[in-house]
Parts: sequence; C-alpha cells; structure tokens
Amino acid sequence: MLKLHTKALAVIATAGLFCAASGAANAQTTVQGNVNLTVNNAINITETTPMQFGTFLVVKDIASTEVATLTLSDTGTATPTTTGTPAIFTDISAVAPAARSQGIFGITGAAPTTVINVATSNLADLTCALCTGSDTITLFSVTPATATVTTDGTGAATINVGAVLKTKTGGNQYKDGLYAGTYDLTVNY
Amino acid sequence: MMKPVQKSAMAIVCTALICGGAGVCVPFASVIAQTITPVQEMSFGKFALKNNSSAHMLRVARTGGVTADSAYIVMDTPVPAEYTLAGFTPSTPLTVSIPDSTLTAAGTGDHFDLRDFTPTPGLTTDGAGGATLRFGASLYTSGSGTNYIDGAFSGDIDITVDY
Repeated sequence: MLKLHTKALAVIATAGLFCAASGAANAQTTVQGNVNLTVNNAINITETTPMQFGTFLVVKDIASTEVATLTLSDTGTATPTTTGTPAIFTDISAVAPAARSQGIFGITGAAPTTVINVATSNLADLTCALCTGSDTITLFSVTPATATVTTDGTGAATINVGAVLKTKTGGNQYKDGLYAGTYDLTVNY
Repeated sequence: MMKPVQKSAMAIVCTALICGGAGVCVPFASVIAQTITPVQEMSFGKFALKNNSSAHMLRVARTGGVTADSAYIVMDTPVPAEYTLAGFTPSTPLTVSIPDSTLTAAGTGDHFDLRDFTPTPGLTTDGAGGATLRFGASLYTSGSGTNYIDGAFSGDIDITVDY
C-alpha cells in the first residue's frame, strides 16, 4: 500500500513539470505605457524700452548732396556728424528735454544658459504723421544687424539696439514734429 | 479494489494542474495575476528644436543618461521608463519587447518617431515573482523640414513580457 502511494505522487510530479514547460513557451503579459514630451521653441521677447533719439534740430540739404548723420549707440549715446552744411543734426535736448535711450528688449522663459541668435531687418524710415509737406528721415542701419546673446540661469537675456539716421537730400525741408520708424528684431536658437 | 480508485483521483488532480490559469502549474487557489505597473513613465522632457531639416535624435538611456543631437536644446531632462513586475513565475528569465511607436500632438500632423527601446538585459524575476523593468529609447524628429509647433506630444507603447 505504501509503495503504490509513492508511485502515484511521482506521476503527479511529472505532470507538473510538463505543465510548467508548456506555460513557459507561451505565456506573455502586455501593458500599454505612455511616453510624452513638450516642444518649446518659442522665445518670449518684449521691447521694454523703445529706441529714442531725443530732440534735434534737423536740417537737410535741399539743394545739394550733403548728408547729416545721427548715430545712437547701443548704450544710448547720440553722436551727430555731417558731410557738410547745411545738413545737420543738432542736439537741443537742453532746451527741449526728451528721453534718450537705445532700444532695449528683454527675453524671458528661454532655455537657460543658451546662445540665442539676434537679427534686425525690415528697417522703415522715420516719418512724421502730423507734418504736412515734410520728408522722411532715413533709418540707415540698426545695430546689431546680427548678434548673439546668452541667456542666464533663468532663461533671461537683454538685447540693446542702436541705430543710424541720415537726412535725405532735395525735396521739402523737415517740419517740426515727432518722427517714428520701425524695424524688426528676430531671435531664435 | 482500492487501487483503481486511487489512480482515478490522481488523474483529476493532474487535469486541474494543466488547466489552472495561464499555464502555470499551481493549484487554482494559488494563481496570481501578472501585473506590470508604471513607477515612472518615459518622458523626453521639454526642449527647443533648432530645426527639423533632418531626423534629429534625442536618446535617454535606461540608466538615465541623455544624448542629444545639436539641434536639441534640452530644457527639462528626459527620464527613462520604470515599471514594477509582479505575479510572475519566481526566478524565471523574462523577455521584454516594445514595438516602435510615434508621439503626436492633438490636432496637428506633426509627429516624432520612437524606437530602439533598451529593456533591462537579463531580466529575471526574484523569488517572489517580481522584477523591476527599466528601459530607455531614442526619439527622432520627422526630418520634414518644417519645425514643430509648441506644445505637448504623447504616444502609447505596448510593453510585452514573455516568460
């Protein structure tokens, strides 16, 4: 009786091994996972201070080809020059005070400690909307034309912009008024 | 007379063993469902992309190391996936397979390709039938020439464990 019982257990064990081998060949479990990412190509940029040259006596050469030039550095210093009379930019801020500043742009929310490319383009001459029979002042250049800035640890950076104005020749003399122009500033990684 | 009765009883036990849940040779009362539970879903973080002129790669290794083409500006570090496996046969080698997938953004045609998954090599369950599965993968831009819109992209992956 004891012998018979032992034999039966052996049969069970064999069957069990067979089951395990069979299961190992086919068993599989699948689950669905998720993967994500965020694209953040946009760079937030704001003109915190518009470029302002101040108040100037501006005379153009309506009879010849003399040209006056006014250079505003990217630190806000205005320097007038001329090729000859009567063309002239003369600073009269002492008698007609006006703010003067380079253009200042602020970048926020960009990648930290990262080089950002800066480019200026689409320069539009300065016009006087309320003047009658005046002429435009040439926005000759904006500096930098191209440059790079590096963001700080918070992803912020500051861009300073200067420009060069030139008087035109011929045509009507400049009238008193506010002259304004535009330019585009583009940033990208 | 006693002998045939005993043989019959043994046959019943064997049938129960063969049919008992997922082919695992244990009594019905002991069958445990296999589970694969996410501890950390894979994420490629947040980045800016300088261009999509070719298929740029961003890779996160199983161990967390990140390799990126120069077109990527990584802002939030990618993380590999980690899943907890439970209820498997103890001390058993596992084979993990994950097919290629894509990540898309709602309402756009843009997509990223996801491939080259690297599950934990030689993954084997412990004495309790559990294991920790980690894997990395490579993300590729489409290379279409058009850069991506800002926003969230996501996709599903099928993780299959054979044992």
